Amino acid sequence: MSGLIVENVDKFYGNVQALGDISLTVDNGQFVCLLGPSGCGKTSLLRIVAGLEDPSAGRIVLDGADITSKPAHKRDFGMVFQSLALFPHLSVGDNIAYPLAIRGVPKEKRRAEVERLLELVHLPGKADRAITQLSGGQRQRVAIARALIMQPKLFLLDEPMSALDAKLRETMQVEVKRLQRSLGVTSLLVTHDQREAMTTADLVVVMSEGKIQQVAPPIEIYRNPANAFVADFIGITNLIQGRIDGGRFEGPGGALTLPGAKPGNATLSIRPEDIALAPQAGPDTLTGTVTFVRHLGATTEISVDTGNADEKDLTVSLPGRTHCPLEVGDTAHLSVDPAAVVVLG
Amino acid sequence: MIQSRPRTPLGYLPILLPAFALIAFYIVPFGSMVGMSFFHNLGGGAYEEVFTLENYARLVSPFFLSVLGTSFEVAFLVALFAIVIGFPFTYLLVNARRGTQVFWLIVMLSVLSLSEAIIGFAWSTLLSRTAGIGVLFEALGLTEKAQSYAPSLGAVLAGVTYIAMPYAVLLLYPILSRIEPDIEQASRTLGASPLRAFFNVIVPMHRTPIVVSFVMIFVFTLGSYLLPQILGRPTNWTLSVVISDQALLQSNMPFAAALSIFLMTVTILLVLLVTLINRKGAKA
Amino acid sequence: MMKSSALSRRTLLKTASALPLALAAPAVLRAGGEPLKVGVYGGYFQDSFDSFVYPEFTKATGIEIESIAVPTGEAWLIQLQQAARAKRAPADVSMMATVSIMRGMRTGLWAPLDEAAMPNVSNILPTLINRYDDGGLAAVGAVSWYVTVATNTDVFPEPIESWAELWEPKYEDSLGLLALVSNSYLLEITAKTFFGGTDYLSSEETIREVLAKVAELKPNTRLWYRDEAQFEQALKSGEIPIGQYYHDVTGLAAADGFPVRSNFPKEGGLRESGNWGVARVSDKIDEAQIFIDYMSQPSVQAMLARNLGTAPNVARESMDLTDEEFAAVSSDIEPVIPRYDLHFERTDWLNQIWAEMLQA
Repeated sequence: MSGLIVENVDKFYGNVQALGDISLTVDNGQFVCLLGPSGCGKTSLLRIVAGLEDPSAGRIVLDGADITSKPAHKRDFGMVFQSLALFPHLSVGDNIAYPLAIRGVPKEKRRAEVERLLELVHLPGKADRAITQLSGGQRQRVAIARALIMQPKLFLLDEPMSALDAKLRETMQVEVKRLQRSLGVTSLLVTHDQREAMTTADLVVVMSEGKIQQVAPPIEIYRNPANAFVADFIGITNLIQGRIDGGRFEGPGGALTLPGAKPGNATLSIRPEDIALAPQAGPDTLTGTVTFVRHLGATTEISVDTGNADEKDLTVSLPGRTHCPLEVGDTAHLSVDPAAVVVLG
Repeated sequence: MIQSRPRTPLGYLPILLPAFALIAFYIVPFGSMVGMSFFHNLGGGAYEEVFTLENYARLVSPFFLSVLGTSFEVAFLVALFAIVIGFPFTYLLVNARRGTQVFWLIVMLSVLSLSEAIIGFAWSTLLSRTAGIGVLFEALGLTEKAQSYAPSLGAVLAGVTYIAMPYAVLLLYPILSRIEPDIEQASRTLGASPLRAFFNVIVPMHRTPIVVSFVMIFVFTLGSYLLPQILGRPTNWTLSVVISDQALLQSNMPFAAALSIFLMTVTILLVLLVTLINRKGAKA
Repeated sequence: MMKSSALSRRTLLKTASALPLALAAPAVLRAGGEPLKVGVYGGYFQDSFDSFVYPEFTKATGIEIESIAVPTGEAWLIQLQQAARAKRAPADVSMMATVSIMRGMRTGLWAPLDEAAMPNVSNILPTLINRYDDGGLAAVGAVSWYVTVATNTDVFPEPIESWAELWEPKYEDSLGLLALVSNSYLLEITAKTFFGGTDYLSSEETIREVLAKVAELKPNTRLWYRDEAQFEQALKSGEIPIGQYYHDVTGLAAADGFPVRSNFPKEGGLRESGNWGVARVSDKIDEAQIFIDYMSQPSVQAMLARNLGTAPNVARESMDLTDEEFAAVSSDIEPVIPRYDLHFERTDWLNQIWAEMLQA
């Protein structure tokens, strides 16, 4: 058994349950993202894996060995904190070499390793700088280098890029992913940013309210969300509530043919780009009133009121160059590719 | 920065009061003490306002240098103990629950409110053969016969450290409470046990606050004169004891003033030296 | 500046010496109807005087008294001297330590007193009378007290017979002694015990010789105390089982059931005194003299012995004290009297060699 296994982990803070029966397997070399809104328990899970917190119940197993009660400093993991947690009194080089110094690695070897890591994170020759002399992005790289110098069995990242500006963040995401791929280090990243998750992860774990909602590769999560929460949290979607009977969905604004769909009450998830405009009403169209039109350049977004629940207008996204004849107040007929419709229970 | 000067004399009014207070309460008494140190003592609290260096000539002696040495020894050790105990204590405190923090801060403030004489008597009783830990040690079989641990240098250090401790904690508390918990946790994930993380990261990180607190407690302790009398043998009496004897019992104000200025001058030089060394150390 | 300061001092002395002439004018008793201000040490002394002495005095003489608390040490002397320069008297009569009386005499602080107006002063022991160089009476002994060897009888049941026993090795680390040369008077005690008397303290060499003998007490001394309460408490508990302490206070503690005893050594107890001095600037010299005369009566001295525990300043035969009452406050053994002259003239030097001996 190789890799990380989280087995039936619970975590309580007093009477408040932060994690409920979490089980997860991460294969060696995989990059897994824990994705969810704040307060979903993703950071608690990461800290339990790191050994910074004890689970209330359950086990953590690494390469077949139970490490649940192993203290953090004996786990040989590398972790990058949200605040980066660089040591302000040490130089860049001494920060990166800290894990080696702790383990009594001789000075020459440390020096060489530091240079190697600095090359890797594109900061060559910066070993003697003070932390205060570095920019935010450079500090980020130092924190990553420090976490990786021990060639850790597990590379943990707790929202490490949240402090960076948007442009730098995207660059760093790509860089982290490349670095991870080249080193082959098993990685666990916590984020609330789905773009970050999509960019870096081999496997995304969507969490909400202390529970795992879905574990799947990024595109799976997008295309086949397991439930309304995942569908709504990942990207933009239209959720339409209605009833299925005899392969026909009946909902606000019309009906759709969904061959083989299970009869009963159902919620459909339809991505805006999977909806097209139809010239007139037909058996498989939804009809409503245009309430807003947005020309965004790359796409044109149209909001259509079909009498959906919670007064949620359907969003339709057309390629930017498609001619849009509709204006606010017009009646719109919408057609949907049945293959793109996800039926949620 | 460009600031316009007040256009009328009245505009200076807001700074007049603090300036006046500063002159009245600091500069004038200090100046009169400097003046006093050059007067001729007549005995019985009387002195002649003539210029003489005899008070300074008297204090330049092996005896007063050795008493000064005692003062520095006591102050140094007390500052050392206060930091060595106070720093880890404060570190644990800032990481403790809110209620625990409030409790200990109140305890520390209560210690400050105690009179030094009360503290001295409490410690001399605590360290006594007949009613203190001497009895306890005998009962526990640690010592064959109950012993007394006061008066002694150790008793002086214990008593003065007890008084200095709240200052150490109150000086370090605001600084240590700003540490991000991530720092300590980061060093743990990087392979340092909590103890090593404390000594490897937390302590060196706070080098300057530690030096500053040390110097402040050192200077504060130099002024201690009651506890060395109550808890110490004559060889542990500090220069402040001698100064208070001269001022209160011998009524020799000129000599007491000269001793005070001597103590103050040496202290200032020492503090400057430490500051300089620390600045160099921080740069290196 | 130096000159003018010296001048003003001389001028002051002249003015001061002119004052008695003005006051020798016909006496007007209770001038302005204001009370006579009498200062004694605050605390125990003042409380006792307020309850036992002043009411009786007022009853006997009709003179009202305003009680003033006087600090111990030389602070009061400084205040009196400063007030004298402003021709004010914060107290008309003050009880002062002998060295303070001497310092006051040097600047003419005390009014010369009229012995003819105070017939009872002749009762007072001659050693307790302070005179100006011209023979004028400057101060009269007020009260005295003894310092003896106090022991905790649980620890040391046998009585102490001589001061010399304090040097014995069996008292290693057991003694409590007063910390200063000017309140322990150990130079005098040592001179009387080992060198034939306090007259031996006549030169620097002999004083250093006696001091060296005092230094031999260091291994035996646990506590060199400034604060009486600290030693008293340690004596009662047996923590510090032997030392020098006030005869009457030790007796009171024994009467309260504590295992302590005051031992009068054969060389004599150390006898200290407070003295009445009258401020020269006072406008109530006559009332002050009536007060001092009253206080010098054997009957009043006996009353003080009974109620305050002070040693009488008059011959024992002149009083009606029982043997027990007398022994509680005094002794027939010739006392050790402090060399006040020495402490007055050589304050700084004595203090310096004492500190060097002690703190070395």
